[in-house]
Amino acid sequence: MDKRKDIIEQMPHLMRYARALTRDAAAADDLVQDCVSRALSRLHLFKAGTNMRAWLFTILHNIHAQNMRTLGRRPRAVPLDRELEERRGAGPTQDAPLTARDLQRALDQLPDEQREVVLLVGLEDMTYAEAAEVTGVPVGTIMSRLARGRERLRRMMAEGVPALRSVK
Amino acid sequence: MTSETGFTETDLHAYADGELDLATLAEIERWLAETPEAAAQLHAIKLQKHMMHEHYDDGLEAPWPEGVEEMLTGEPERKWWPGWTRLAASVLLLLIGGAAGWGVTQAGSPEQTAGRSFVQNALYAHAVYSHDEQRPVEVSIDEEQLLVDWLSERIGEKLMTPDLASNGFKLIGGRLVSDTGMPAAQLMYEDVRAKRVTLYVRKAFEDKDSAFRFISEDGMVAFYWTDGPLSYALTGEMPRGDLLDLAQMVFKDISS
Repeated sequence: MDKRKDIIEQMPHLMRYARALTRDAAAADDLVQDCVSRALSRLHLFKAGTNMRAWLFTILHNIHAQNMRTLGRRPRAVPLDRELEERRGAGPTQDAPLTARDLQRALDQLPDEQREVVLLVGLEDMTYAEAAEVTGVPVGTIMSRLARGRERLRRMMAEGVPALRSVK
Repeated sequence: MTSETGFTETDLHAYADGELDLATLAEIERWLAETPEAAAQLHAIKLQKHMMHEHYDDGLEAPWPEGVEEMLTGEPERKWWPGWTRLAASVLLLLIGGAAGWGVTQAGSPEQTAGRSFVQNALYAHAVYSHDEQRPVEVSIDEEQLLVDWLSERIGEKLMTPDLASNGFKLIGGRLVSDTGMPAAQLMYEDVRAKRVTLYVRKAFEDKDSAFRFISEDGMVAFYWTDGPLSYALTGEMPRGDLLDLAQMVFKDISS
């Protein structure tokens, strides 16, 4: 039963990360639901004393990767409200102060593998080793993805997000 | 960006992410104080982190997806057909399945026939009792000792009650059933979503140990095998892989 308690403790983090990862509340709900259900069915495989958070995030990550593969090249569904907003061109102008919303838009432009690492480390405060475990790549790769992703974000934030500048 | 002290951009990130050891910390802070370019980059990293939290932290408070709380806290969530419909359907399946099953048992070696008949009876017993909401078991787990003693005596061998708790299933009780005239025990397990699996046990129908055999019928899946003096069938309504996990657990628990 303690393992379940550990899962419950991680729920807010799974919810937050799933939303950031999928950019869509309904997809995030599905993802977390699948993650918890898979975790429960494999609870016996979890080694006591190891990192429950990394284990759960790994499961979540694998399911997400699988979903992305299944979706193939189909265009990603953009939630309607965001699309409308984008059509209205409600992006940052050169002199408006940068907001968290701008950062999110910039994040959306990153390649998935960079975005994931930026989120795992920056938002979920994972160590490089944990992020490496979750994404299944070496720590060195985590570090280079992180550096590249953050540099790109910084540039986009400084120069304006490309997709937004192209509107109008 | 490489400093005279040999610091690189990577160290800057590691510093921002708390990945550096204490000795390096002091050195890098000195570097930052002397290098405005590095300090500006660090500031950008911190700002990104801050904004990410500002934008996404609502997610921490987001309501959990449907069913997740029940899965985790053990509140049963019963989303079944009404008991009557389900039971009636099960009995109907039993009758149809019985006729069909009889045809099949005509073919094959005597051992195959015996195995087929054994698992068929296990499937019937699962279909009838696992969907009974009023009285799924004859003796509940509250009287575990009585349950084990009684069923062991009737099937003529010491009956084990495997522990499947680590897979989320707990024993709720059991009953005595007739396996073509032989006494058999049915143990029933339930998970937090009230999904049930049954372990059906009787005196071995074959005289040697066997591997797992698999059968799938009417939405039910079962693994059955013989281990020493007893034959076992584990039946449920779930993906084959999930049931296999459980079957392996049963096997391990009984033989350890």
